[in-house]
Amino acid sequence: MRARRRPRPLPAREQVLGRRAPGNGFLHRSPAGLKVAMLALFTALVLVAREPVVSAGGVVLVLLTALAAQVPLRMLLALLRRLWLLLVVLAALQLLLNDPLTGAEVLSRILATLLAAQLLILTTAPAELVAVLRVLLAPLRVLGLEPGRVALAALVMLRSIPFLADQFRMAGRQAAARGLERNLKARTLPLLLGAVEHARDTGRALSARGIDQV
Amino acid sequence: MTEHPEAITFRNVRVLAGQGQLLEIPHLDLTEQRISVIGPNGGGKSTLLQLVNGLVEPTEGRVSTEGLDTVEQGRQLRQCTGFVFSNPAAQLVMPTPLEDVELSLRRSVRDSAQRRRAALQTLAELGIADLAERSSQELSSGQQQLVALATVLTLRPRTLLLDEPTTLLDLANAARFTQLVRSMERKHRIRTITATHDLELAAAAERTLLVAGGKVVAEGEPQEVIAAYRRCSTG
Repeated sequence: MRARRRPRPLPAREQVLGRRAPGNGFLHRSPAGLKVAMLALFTALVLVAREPVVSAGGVVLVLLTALAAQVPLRMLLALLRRLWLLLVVLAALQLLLNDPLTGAEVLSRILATLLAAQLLILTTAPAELVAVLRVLLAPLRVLGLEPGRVALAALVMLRSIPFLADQFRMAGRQAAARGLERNLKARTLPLLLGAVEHARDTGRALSARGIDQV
Repeated sequence: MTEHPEAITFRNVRVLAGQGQLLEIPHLDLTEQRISVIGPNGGGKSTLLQLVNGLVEPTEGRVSTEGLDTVEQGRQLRQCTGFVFSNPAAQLVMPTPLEDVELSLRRSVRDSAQRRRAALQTLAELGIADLAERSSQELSSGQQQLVALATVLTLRPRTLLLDEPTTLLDLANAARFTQLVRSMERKHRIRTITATHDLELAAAAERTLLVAGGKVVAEGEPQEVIAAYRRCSTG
C-alpha cells in the first residue's frame, strides 16, 4: 500500500505588531526613539555602502545584537519563514541578471535591514512606537495634518494585515469548497468585499467611540 | 422634548439613502431602562440604533437623546453613549486590550499612569483583567467582544447601544456578555437598547420594538411583540 501523503499543516496566524520577545534585555529597556534612530542609521549605512562585507557584516551584527539582548533567534528568523517566497524570487532574479557576488550582496542587504527592523518590533511596545511616529510626524502640522490621525491610520493598517491574511485564507477555502480552487475571481472577490466591510466596521466602531487619533 | 428630559425622542424622522427609504418613525419616545429591538434582517434595526447616537443622521425630522440633538451635538452625545457592534474583531484597533481601553480614555484622562489604572480597573470590573496584556488578535471572538464592551463602559456611558452583540458568540460567551451588561446596567444605572435575533434576550426587556420594512410595526410588552413577530415571520 502506498504511504498516504502527509496532511497539510495549518499555517500560523500572521501578526505584525503585538508579538514581543520575552525577557528584559538591554534592547527592551532602551528608549524607543533611540532604537528607531539607530535602525535608521544602520539601514542608511547598509544601503549606501553597497558592499558585500558591510551587508553580510550587518546581518551578523543584527544576530549578535539579538543574542546580547536575549531575544530568541527563532522569533527573529520567523520573519524569513513569512518572506521566503519573495526572497527566493529575488535570489533567482539576481542570479539571472547579475553575477552571484552582486546577488549575495543585494540579498544580504535586504536581510540586514529587515532583520534589524524586526528586532526593533520585537523589543518595543507598540504604544512606544506609535509615540515615536507621532513625534516624527509632528512637522506635518505645518501642512494641516494631525500627527495623531496619521498614527491612527498607520495603526489600523498594521492591524488589518493579519485580518486580511485570514480573509485570504478563508476565501481560498471557500473557493475550494465549491471546487473553484483555480478561479481567481472566487479567491479574490470575497477578500476585496471583506476588506471593504472590515474597513467600514472599523470606521464605525471608532467614530462611535469618538476616536479620531492616537 | 420637554416632557422627558432623559428620554430618547424621535419626531417625524425619515432616513433616506438615495431614492430608497431606510426608516420612518413619525413619533416615538423611549424612556424605559432596558429596551429590545427585534425584526427581520435589513428591516431597519441597525439604522434605528445608530440614529440614537447620531452615527446615522435623520434626513428629515429630529432625534434627541437626553436632550441632545443627534445632529447638532452628535460628538458630545457619543461621549456619553456607548455602542457595541456584532463584529468583535473590527472594534479593537490597539495591539492589546489594555491599550484599547486606554485609547477610549485618552480624551478624558490626561495623566497616563492614571489612565492605565482606570483601564485596568474597568477590565477587572468586567472580570477580564487576565486579558489585559494579551494580543487582541489572538483572543477568541467571545473575549474580543468582552474587551469591546470594556472599551465602551470605561467612559461610564448613560446609554448603551448593542447591535446584535451576541450574534457571533457561543452560548457560554453570549450568556457571560448578557450577564455583564445586566450587572453594569444595575450598578451604573445605564439605559440599554439591544437589537437582537435572540428572542429570549429580547424578552428580558421592559419594552420591545418590532422594526420591519423600515417602520416600527409593533411595540410594547415584549411577549406580545415577540408573538406578533413570530406570526408575521411564519405567515
